Amino acid sequence: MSKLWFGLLGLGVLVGLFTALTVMSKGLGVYNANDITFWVLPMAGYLFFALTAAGLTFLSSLPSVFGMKQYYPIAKRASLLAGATLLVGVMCKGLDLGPLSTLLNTINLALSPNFMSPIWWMAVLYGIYITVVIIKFYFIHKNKWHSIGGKTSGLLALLLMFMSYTALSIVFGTADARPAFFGHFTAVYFAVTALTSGMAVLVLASHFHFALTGGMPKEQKPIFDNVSKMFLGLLGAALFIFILRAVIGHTSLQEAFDGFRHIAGSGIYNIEMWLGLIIPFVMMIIPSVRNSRAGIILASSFVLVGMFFGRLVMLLSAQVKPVGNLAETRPEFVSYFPSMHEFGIILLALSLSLLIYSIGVKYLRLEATPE
Amino acid sequence: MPNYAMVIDLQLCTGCGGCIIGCKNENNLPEGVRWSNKITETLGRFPHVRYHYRPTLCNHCENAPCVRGCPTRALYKTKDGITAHDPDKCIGCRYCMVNCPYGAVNYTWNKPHQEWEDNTEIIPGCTYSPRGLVNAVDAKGWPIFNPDPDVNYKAIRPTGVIEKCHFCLHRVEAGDLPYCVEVCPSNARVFGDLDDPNSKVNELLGMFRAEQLRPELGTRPKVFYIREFCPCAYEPGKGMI
Amino acid sequence: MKKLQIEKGEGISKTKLTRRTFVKGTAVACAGMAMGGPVLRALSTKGTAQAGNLSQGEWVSSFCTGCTAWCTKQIYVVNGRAVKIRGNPNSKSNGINSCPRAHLALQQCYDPDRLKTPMKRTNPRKGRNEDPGFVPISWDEAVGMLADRIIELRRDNEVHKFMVMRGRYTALNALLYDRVPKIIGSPNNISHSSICAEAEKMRYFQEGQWAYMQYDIPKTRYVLLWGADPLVANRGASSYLNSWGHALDNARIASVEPRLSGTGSKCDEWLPVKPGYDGALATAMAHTILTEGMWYKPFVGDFIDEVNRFEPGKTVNEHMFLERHTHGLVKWWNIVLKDATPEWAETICGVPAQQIRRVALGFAAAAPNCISWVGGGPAMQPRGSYGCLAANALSGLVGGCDNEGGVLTYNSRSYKGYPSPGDFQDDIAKQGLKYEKIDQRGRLEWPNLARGGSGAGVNTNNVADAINSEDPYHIKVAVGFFNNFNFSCPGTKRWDQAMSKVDFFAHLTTHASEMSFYADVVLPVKNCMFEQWASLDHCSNGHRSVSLSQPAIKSVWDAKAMETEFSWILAEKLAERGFDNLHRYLKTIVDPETGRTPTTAEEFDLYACKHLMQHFWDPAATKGGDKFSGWEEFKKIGVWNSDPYNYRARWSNMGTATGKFEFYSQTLKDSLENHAQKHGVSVDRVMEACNYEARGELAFVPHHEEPYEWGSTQEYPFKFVDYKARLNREGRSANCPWYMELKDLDPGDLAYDDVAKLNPVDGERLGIKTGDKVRLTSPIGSITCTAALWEGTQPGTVAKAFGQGHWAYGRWAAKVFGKEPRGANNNDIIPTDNDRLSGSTAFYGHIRIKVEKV
Repeated sequence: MSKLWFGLLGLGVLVGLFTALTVMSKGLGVYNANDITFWVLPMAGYLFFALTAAGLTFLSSLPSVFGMKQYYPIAKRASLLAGATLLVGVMCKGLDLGPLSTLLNTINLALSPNFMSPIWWMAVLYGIYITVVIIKFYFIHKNKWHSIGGKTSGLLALLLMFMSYTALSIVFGTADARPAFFGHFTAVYFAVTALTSGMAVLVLASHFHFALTGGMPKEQKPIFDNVSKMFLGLLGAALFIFILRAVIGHTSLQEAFDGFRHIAGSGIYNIEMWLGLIIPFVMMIIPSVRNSRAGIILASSFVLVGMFFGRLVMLLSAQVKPVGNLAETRPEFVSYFPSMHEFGIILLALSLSLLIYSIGVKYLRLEATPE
Repeated sequence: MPNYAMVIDLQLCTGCGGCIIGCKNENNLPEGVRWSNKITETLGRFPHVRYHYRPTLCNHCENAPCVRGCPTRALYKTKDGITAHDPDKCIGCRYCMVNCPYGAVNYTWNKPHQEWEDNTEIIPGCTYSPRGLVNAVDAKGWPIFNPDPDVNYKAIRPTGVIEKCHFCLHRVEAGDLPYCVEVCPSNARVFGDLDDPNSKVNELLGMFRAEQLRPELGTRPKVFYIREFCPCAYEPGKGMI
Repeated sequence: MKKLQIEKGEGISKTKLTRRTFVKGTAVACAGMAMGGPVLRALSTKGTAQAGNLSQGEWVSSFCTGCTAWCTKQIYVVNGRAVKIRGNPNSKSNGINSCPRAHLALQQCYDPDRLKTPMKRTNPRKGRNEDPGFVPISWDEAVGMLADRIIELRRDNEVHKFMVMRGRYTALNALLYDRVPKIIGSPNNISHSSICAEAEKMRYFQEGQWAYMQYDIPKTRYVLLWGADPLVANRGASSYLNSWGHALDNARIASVEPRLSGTGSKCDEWLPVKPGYDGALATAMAHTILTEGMWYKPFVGDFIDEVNRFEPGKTVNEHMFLERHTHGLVKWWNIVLKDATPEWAETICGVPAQQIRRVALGFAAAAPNCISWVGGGPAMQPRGSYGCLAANALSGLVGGCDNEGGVLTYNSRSYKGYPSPGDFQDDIAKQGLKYEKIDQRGRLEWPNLARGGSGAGVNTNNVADAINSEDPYHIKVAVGFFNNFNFSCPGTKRWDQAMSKVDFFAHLTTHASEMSFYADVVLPVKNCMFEQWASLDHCSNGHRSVSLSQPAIKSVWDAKAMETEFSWILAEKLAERGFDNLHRYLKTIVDPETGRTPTTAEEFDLYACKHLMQHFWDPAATKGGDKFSGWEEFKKIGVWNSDPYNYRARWSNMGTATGKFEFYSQTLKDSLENHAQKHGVSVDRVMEACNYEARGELAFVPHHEEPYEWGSTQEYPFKFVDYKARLNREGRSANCPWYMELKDLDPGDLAYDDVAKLNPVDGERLGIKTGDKVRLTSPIGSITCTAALWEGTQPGTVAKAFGQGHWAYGRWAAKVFGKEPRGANNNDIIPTDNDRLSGSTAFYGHIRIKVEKV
């Protein structure tokens, strides 16, 4: 089992790496992106993983920063997952910039910074954030939860999560030219959905782990009962925000929202709505499902798939309707389907994050708590 | 320092597209990319129909959202008020494409002019291959390569960065008009200094109620449109019930 | 309506901006041209450091062969490579202005698919689906093969079975087009002219001009366009693009056209006439102008008592009207106009009577600064001669003919002709020249009345039928240059068949075109804009400009100048085979400066050009216009300008039979009677044989002829409206990448596509949406292309641009080179028909189609 699993992940990583190398040598022409839909699947991957990381960072901070000590058993796992998702998220963004020559230009983030640019803040903050998350995990893993380093890194990770998440929200929030990014409402949408997807990852990872290691330790049952309820609560909140967004999008007089309305009729939007929100919400309401391992694994998987599509929905809503003179020579709405290379990047991100987690499961005692 | 702007007289514009082609020529634009472009509309119902044409280009906004959002200052305002781009600083994030409300930024997805790297001869031995011809005429990228934009931009922008209209900065700094202005057979484009009260652009802006594109966004575009593409005269009347 | 006269006449072409590099380099002549426009001031700070960094190229004179306007040009050459194109600022016609398609010449020149070496076919079978199996050969071998065939013809006394076909050309063309066949002994020099716009030249029968005209847009107060699209297509777009916006301040402009054209969108009025009904509309306008007494009296004259007797339906006594510079107005009224009311016209032409009246009276009110601009639309139809005459007559009614702001002829210019070939024609040649020409011109059903002469005009598209039927005889050896009749003539299949039938065909071309696929040898020629000495001339803004093109760029093709170098090499090869007449003839054309006899093809190219242009550059030989110190100075400036236009010089000196502007055409009557007499029949019999409706006196006046259509309205419910795309360099730009990329510059068209445009009403009825594939079928064939619903298309018609549908010509022009076309060629569905008085091939008015979703 384990060999097969690692073998599969290794294969995924290899295929993904090959894709990544192709992208780095040839550039983004291998994506089905163009000057209309220019932020596509790899960018969706970035949003998905980075926001999930934010949620996980928050969850891993519950015991140490917020003093909710009962959640210590999930903290290390959440911390590693945060690191893994953040790493692959940032990698997705990196592979969405251009070939190697472009990547080398990122040195100018240091040499020629623009403090007015939300993207600059986002890049810098995520850079620091990822470092701090790794340091934090190091302290946890060394069982130095309460050392000065451990506490500081825990606090810093949370702080940086907030800051980088804020920067990311502002990237979209200040895009006056593209109202269909929903302006600063996106901050709320990101917050709730980030927590939800983070929680879904944690729930899925934990229950999967328990499934493989012969069941949940008795003492953790109450924690996970609470976790499930929190998950349900978050799903409810996410559904509320989702509906609110739909109301805004459908009622706005601005033509720019035509893009959203167009996407709202598409499959990916329905996947976000049904698979990502409504079905898991209903499942989690039903106690028998909520309390069954299969039920909760399925629900959290649904949420993650739905959330992933949700990121693409959010990106495409503001892009499918060509802007300005680009509308010349193009249909009212452009269509988009990812290329093999885009899938390859997502495969890489997924395989790599799972590999890191699986290594964690195997070697790093993720259920460890402070003595 | 001058503050360069452009006034486009829509009545003089004939919708010929010379500016689009001239720009592609001057700046070695890759296939499919137009820095100078157009927005057209066909309005009315037969037989009362007209086709309206508006030439477009980067608006070189005074309050340029692309410059504000660029993380590495690859997009910048020159001292002359031109919104220029430095491909060596560009990290390809395409946030400028998010921020530009005019669709004036393009990303170089593939190697520019890659169709000229093809080695096939359609009649073997009797015609060139595209690459063969480029080599034979000692050009770069494509046979009609114009080296001029290399002065302060890149004559052909590398793969993986954005590119945009720079008001032909290389020509302006050498004392020449932007090529779209020079190449326009209808003299519809007028270029000049907003800070010079006697410039032709100010003469026209003082004469007509000029229109800017999407001024409500606060970008303060410096491409101004005057008059109508089709200034028809019609028979007066009060309509009917 | 704003009536502000911002700039007068000549000023317009001069408000130009100039490049500083240009001012430094060539432009003494243009020192004054910088005024008026916004000129960048030099930047004091950083400017100096940067100014020198732009490439130091040179602007070299040339002309444009993209259409028959032949505008003046300069090519910017950097290190032997052409980089840019602009109008020649030294010219007083189009000046620095350049229409958009001029720039595509760069891509036409540097086309990877241009031929770089002569080649011969290895597959003896010829046909649409035969791969010729071209292999490279040397010029020696290629021209040697042709010379062998010509020698055989001479040996067998069959020189008349030799044919030269001319497509586009330069002013040096007589050497190849005329002297080569004449010295060899063939009557068959076939030009492309009748597929161009010969029917427009039928104005000859009113005002003695078998010619294209210039239109005085800067000074006009009314422009009435008849199937002309001067901002988009032929002829003179560079100048008209420049003056149109100002004209909108000063003039009213109306477009008569079945579709909303590019120019139609910059007009005050669009009169969406039904295809083929221009004559009805024009005569109704004339009727209105006369009944309202609005004709221009200083030109036309008046009733002797100045009382208007033109009342609808009533005949007028001819003797009551005293004409000044016109002839036969009252006859025209009595025969046609008295009944041609706007209400009558409305019922057939589809334009409301009220609009006809409004436009007619507005037009006449602006007299005499009025242009009735007859384009190909009303003329190039079966029976189109009369549509042309009806529309052109309006210029006469309002005195716009040869007047300020009116319709002008080209200013004169004088190329120095080449020596007569007479002394070099032997008996075999003289015998051969006596044969009837292959195109059957002059037969009863082919009057082809160029300049009034029976059988004087060419019958290009009939050559295919003549070859196929071997009537008058079989063609054994043919040479074609700069032509592609298999693409550009309606009824393309006939040409595929005909060219398969010709025993030996040598094609001189830059690209392997459709026609080349039937060639035995294909000879790569220089692009005459860039690579050789040549000349063409242009006329606009009241000036004629004669341009010089030069070997401006480094040539990377083993190509020869078609008219000079090829003729020279052919002459050499014939001489080697014992027939040296042509070679001896060509050697009589010497360098006018030194008197040197040419010894090589390149020298001959130069001397032939210097000879032809001697009246322009040689101060001792100048005949008016610009003067130069000699050849060297002329080379630098690159263009000679005529003196300004002399208005009204043609009034009562029209070159017609009466010398007047003939509403009743005595000239046409003479010509037709002459043609009838030649065949021993009546004029009515000629009209019948030529498929006109007119009988009796009607044949000599402008009138409406019911359009002759192919196909029934039941089976083919739509009328097909062909037009020319903005970036067409005739049929030759489809392999230029910018052509497909910018196809959307034609209103209603889509980039990278070839669309048939339908009105949305028709689209809805047929269930067709934009982007659907549709099949258009006429009685002679089908094409498949993309549909686009566009409001500017008249309901009941389908409008589609000519230009695409190449199955050869290059990798981008064809979908699969040599096999499958990209887009569709209108000529595959346009039935072969003619306006027989002018000899023109019909492109409009007669085409009925059906539309099916594929």
